[in-house]
Amino acid sequence: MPLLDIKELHMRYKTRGGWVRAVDNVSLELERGESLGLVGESGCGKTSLAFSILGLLPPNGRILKGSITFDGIDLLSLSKEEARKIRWNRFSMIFQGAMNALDPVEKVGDHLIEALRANKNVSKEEARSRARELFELVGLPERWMSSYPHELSGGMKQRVVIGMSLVCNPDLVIADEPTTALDVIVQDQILQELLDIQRRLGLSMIVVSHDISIICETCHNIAVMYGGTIVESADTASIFKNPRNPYTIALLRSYPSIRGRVKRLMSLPGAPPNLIDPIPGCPFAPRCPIANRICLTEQPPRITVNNSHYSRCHFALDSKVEDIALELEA
Amino acid sequence: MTSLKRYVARRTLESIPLILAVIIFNFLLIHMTPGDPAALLVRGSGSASVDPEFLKAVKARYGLDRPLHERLVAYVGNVLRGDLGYSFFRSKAVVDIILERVPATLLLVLTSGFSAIIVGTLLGVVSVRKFGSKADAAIQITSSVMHSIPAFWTGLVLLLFFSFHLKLFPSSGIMSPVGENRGSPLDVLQHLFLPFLSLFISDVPIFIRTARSSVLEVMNEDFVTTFRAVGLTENRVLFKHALKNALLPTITVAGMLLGFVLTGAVFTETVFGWPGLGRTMYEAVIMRDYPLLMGMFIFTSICVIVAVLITDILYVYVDPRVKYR
Amino acid sequence: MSDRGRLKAWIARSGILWREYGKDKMALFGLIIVITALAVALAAPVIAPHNPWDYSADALAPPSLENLFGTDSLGRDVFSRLVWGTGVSLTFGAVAAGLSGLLGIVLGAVPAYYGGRIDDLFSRIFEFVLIIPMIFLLILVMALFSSNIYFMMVVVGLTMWPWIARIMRAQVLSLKSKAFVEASLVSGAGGLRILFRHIIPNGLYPVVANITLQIAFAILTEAGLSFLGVGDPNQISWGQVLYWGQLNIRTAWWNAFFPGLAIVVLALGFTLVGDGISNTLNPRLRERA
Repeated sequence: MPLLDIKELHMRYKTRGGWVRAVDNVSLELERGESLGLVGESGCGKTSLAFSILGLLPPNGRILKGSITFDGIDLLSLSKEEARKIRWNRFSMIFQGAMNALDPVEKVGDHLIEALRANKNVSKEEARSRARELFELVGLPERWMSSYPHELSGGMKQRVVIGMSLVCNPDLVIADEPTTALDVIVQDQILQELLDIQRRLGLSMIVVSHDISIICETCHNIAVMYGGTIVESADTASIFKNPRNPYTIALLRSYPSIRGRVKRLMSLPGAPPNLIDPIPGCPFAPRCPIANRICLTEQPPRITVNNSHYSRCHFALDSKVEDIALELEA
Repeated sequence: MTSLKRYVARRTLESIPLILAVIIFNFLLIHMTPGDPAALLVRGSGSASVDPEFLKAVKARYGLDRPLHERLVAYVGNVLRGDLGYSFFRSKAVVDIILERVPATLLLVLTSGFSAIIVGTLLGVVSVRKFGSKADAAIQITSSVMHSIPAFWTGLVLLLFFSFHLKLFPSSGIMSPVGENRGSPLDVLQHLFLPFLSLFISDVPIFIRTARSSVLEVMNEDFVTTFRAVGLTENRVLFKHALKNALLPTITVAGMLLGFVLTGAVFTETVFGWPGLGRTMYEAVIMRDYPLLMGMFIFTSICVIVAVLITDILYVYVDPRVKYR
Repeated sequence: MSDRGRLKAWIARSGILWREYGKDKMALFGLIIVITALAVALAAPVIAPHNPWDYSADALAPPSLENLFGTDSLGRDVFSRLVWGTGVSLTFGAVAAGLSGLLGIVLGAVPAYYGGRIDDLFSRIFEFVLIIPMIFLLILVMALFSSNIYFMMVVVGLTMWPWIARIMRAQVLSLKSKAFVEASLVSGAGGLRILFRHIIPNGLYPVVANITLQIAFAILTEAGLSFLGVGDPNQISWGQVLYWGQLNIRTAWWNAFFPGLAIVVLALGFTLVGDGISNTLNPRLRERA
């Protein structure tokens, strides 16, 4: 049984302009010890999906249909209290630490202590020593426990947030843009350490990012999202060697690689999709270089390319898809 | 010298020109009025017969026949030495009159001010906790209505109802004029209650507003999401974390609000005959006792400037983000 | 964009905002109060049952059908006086807040736009004026100079402008960085022109909300100053009616009660409108993220 099993999830937000379909028919599975990367541009629904799993939707968010099962537990049927109890204990989130994730008037060590004591009945001393353990795990010297967030660098704050997420020994950790807002060198360090921690503790992980290059370094599997749906999902190697969706290809080709030949970078014309009033067909169709009439009118089905590799594109198995890739190799 | 001490010194130094500005402004004010400043000081406007010999003596005493800049310097010097002028009506130095009346005002302002801060902030926080509910709407409406009621009207209505009609509380003064209870704490409290209530009602709304908007701003910060994710109950998030963050801007505002509270005190003391600075102001206006009026303006302005200075320093001390350690 | 085009865009945007405003019941209620007051002021000669200056022998009479709010110490009908006084209070509020708004917008925007030491200086001036307890100064000035109501309007306006200036300054500072990019693309437009044609109009909304709040504040201030006895005895302002009223409060409570009530209602009206405007602009105060 997979650790996390999401089936046909539909989630939307109520806004002044109407209902925004943030998550549209998403299904995915995560096995224990595996890491999955959710990649896509801003607004594609990856963060909404993450918050749905965590049960942290804002007041104007609603889950329409579908199910989220964690270790056999139906998360959507839990009451607010039950959800609050299970959250952080069994699964947790790594927020963007460099931003405002920490309370400016609390010491960073106290954040971990509070997080632990909110979930487990331990004494202050026990909590403090656990916090010390975690500081060591994430590579922060103990003396920083009594500092305030503004005294730490972005990378250090990110480590604190990582520590916070692990304080109750969860089975699953969702990392939301863990390296955004950090400079490149620190990004690399944090990523390596995150990988290291994951291996050591046998964690299952979901990494949410717009940056496919960091996803490919850390995850076993990748799910590419666009317009609220997963447009392609496969193991990392397959995504790179055999991408079968125009959006995936565009995404891959928009990141230059230092090694290898100089490729022509692909940029996407057009604007992000309208999630309030979406077109009936594939959300990517208006910007897709190989789109046809069918793409605008019919939702592409989930086409299996391989074992666990599928793509939502009418032309997933067509040679047209390969042509886009080849065109840019020239 | 540490950073903190340097900051304190700098802010204190900055306050001095402000104080000087108030004094100079006051000086200019008397001289802009039509008529002889000396006569003004002695007898107020519109009063006919002043003994010319007396006037000459006053002029000489205050150096009013000297050129303007000399007078200005002398005036500023006097004020800084604590000489706020002389009230001819009461035959007393202005400073003495003021200092006599300060305790009564302090009693009234401190009790109602602190109560208003505590209750107002609590209500503001509760209104955020129950955001969008009927309770929130009720708190906001009550706050708006109270904000629109002039301080003296609250006083008048309370006076009419509780004092004249129900005869539950005395109608004026700080203590009973006669009787064996005179001056006892109970006696004073009985007299204090209505003015306290009146001023409290005037002051609460602004604290509700301030608390509500700063807490709301904090609740929209990212770290609130973090705390909710971690499993803290909504109450804990609000009362422990949001409030702590929101109190910081409240401290900065508190100093400025002293001026606002004093304004309310003027009306409340007048309505209830409470023998404090506010009532003194009223009496001075009726008699056109200009030295007293001017002295009070300077005194209250300086008090507020000092209060702002203290709250600024307090803020720097309390906010961990400010690196003056 | 042409001037007419920009004006149309501004009107369209304001239209959307007004529709939002209409969804707020309290704000609508406030607007009704204000409009009613305006109507009463304009129709005063028709509505008032008695001549507000008419003395009569029937002094300090309690409320009756003849005198809805009773009569004052000189036998004048309080209700008629309040009706006639509506216009005075409205004018007072409008003039004082208008003056404050004008000064506040200009003196807030220009130094902020040019920045540097001038901006520092003016910032300090704002802070300084804002912390001084103005009531003492107002009493002093009114007692020293003149009790004329027009003089009072100007003086009150002069004590209120820094409040507006501070808000305008904050708006200009945040819009300034955006506007400079635009300005560098627009060739040859002079500095002040950009300020007055582009920046200020965009930053006006919170300023307008606060000017509305200041109308309420000005009305309350006039009432307060009249209550203390430095008001204009030649005018029928609500503050004056109240002043005459409170002299006889023990025997004729209606004399002070009704004028006070009228002041509260009108001040409340403007406060709700002002709050409504700022809630419309800042949806965070209504919704939660």
